[in-house]
Amino acid sequence: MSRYESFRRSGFQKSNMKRLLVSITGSQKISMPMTIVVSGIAKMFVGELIETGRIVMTERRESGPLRPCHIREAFRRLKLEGKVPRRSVPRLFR
Amino acid sequence: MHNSSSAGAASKQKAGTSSQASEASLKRKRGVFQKDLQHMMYGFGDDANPLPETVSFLEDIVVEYVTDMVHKAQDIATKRGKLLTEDFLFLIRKDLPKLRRCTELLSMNEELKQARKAFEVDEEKLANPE
Repeated sequence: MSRYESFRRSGFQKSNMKRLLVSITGSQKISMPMTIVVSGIAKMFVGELIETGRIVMTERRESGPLRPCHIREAFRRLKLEGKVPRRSVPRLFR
Repeated sequence: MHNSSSAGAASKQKAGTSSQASEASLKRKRGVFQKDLQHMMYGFGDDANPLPETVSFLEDIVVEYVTDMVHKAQDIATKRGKLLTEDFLFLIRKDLPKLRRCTELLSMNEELKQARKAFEVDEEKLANPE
């Protein structure tokens, strides 16, 4: 039951998400609905990653907490499905 | 020579801290979403105590995902002018679960706003006759 509670109540802090959006767009005008929508999209994306990561883990017959290698494989599979936005121009400088 | 080198080192330090202060606003802080992500990971099926490297890795992926989404939304929005919430909805139009969830979130937000407005109006009515 506590897992369901975590699933329902967890979410990204609106203040942190707003700060991130402001830093990406460079503009201060980020409306509250926009923050809500982006937080919802990001949470569902995390869910897809973790569920796919668990599937990868059961395929490899491993147990315990998820590891970055599982998330990497999950990310690769999501990219193949087209659920991850691809940059038409590759990112040059990080 | 010893004096000039120490003065040079002191001035370099000062320049370093001032540039650090301006960089701190530009640099992305690490571990911004750590606590939220830990709860989310447990909710979606991970262990009750997820590995810290997994949490950091997820945070990097999420920040990159949001960044790419926002850039794509901005590409769409520049044709019109301002960046709007509809641009994000257009981006996820192919992903039905996300689209449904976002429309649900937006309508709930509207409902809550209306409910709060109605609550305030009622309080005013109570205050006025007195």
